[in-house]
Amino acid sequence: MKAVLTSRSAFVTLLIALAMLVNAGLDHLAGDRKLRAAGLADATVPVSIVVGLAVTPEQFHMNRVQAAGTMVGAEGRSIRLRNVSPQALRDLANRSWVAQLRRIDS
Amino acid sequence: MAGGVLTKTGPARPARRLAWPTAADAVLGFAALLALWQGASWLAKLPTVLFPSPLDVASAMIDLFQTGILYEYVKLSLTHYLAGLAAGAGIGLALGLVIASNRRVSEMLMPLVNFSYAIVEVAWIPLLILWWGFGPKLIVVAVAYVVASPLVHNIVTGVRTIPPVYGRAVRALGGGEWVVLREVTLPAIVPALFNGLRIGAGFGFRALIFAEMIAQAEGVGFLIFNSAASQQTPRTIAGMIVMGVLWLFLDRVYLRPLERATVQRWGLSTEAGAK
Repeated sequence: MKAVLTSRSAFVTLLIALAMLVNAGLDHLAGDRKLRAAGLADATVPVSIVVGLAVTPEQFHMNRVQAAGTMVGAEGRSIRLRNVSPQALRDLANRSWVAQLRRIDS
Repeated sequence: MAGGVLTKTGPARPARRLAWPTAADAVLGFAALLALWQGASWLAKLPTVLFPSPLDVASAMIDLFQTGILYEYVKLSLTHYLAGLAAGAGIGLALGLVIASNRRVSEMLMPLVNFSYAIVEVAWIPLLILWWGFGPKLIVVAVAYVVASPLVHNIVTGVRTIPPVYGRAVRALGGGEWVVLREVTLPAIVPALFNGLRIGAGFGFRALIFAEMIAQAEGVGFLIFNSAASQQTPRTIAGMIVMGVLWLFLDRVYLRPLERATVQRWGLSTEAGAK
């Protein structure tokens, strides 16, 4: 058991897990900042938002944004979404390629 | 003990090679390939879509990283692969033990296993799409299918090479079939199990690429296929490189040490042979 725990494989696995955890933690902190800046930190009901992307949107980004709510429009790097649940809002804010969120009146 | 001097006997150990020259050789091989590739792309002067240079591919790789696509796709592909590997290993182990436990069962099932071994996973994918639809389930099933086959073969062979006298000895001492399985069969098949797992893991990785290409809208396999379809050749090659690096990583960090700790320890292969 000791040999397994002290092996290179275990060390590398631990290192990867740690890196992923740190990455997730940093994304969460960045997500907090984006939500606070948009005044959405304490959203408890579905909201309408504009998602500003940090990159030119591709199919990958569109799939994830569309999964968060109902897409009602897009212009350049901005996508308008309706009916975004608090959980989906948090997931979206945690993405590194989401630059900012803005609340809109539905 | 003549003269009170103890002398070391036994087979001479092979001289242990330092790790760094091996790593340096590997890096040198890759560097030579990159230099040749870059030189060829300068000389050929073909459009990027036909023959991208290593610099184009590096740029595509950076772009994939910055857009968050690479990290997400690698995570997804590895999740599918590990789930398939675990499922295939479990099924292969159970099926192998069942087949090896009884000659009649073995005669009934081994031809079926051999039959399915010959049908590559790509041939199953259209059927799997019908049964499971597009998505992660299909990929996990495809990977599990190819991982299980070599495991079954290896386990059956492993069980058959156990001298029957060991089982008889345990039974003579009052042990039941469960004790024979736990104390004799399972420890004895460990080298065969890990050898089969390494072979199956390699096949499974190829199955992952195939399945993601055909049936999934996400993952590194999909990235390779989708980029080629949209003529983003540098991205296709970047995806291929990521797949290669992932496999090298899995093999070097997990599979090879696992095999070294079992197969080579039992003396069934040498380090040189395992490379």
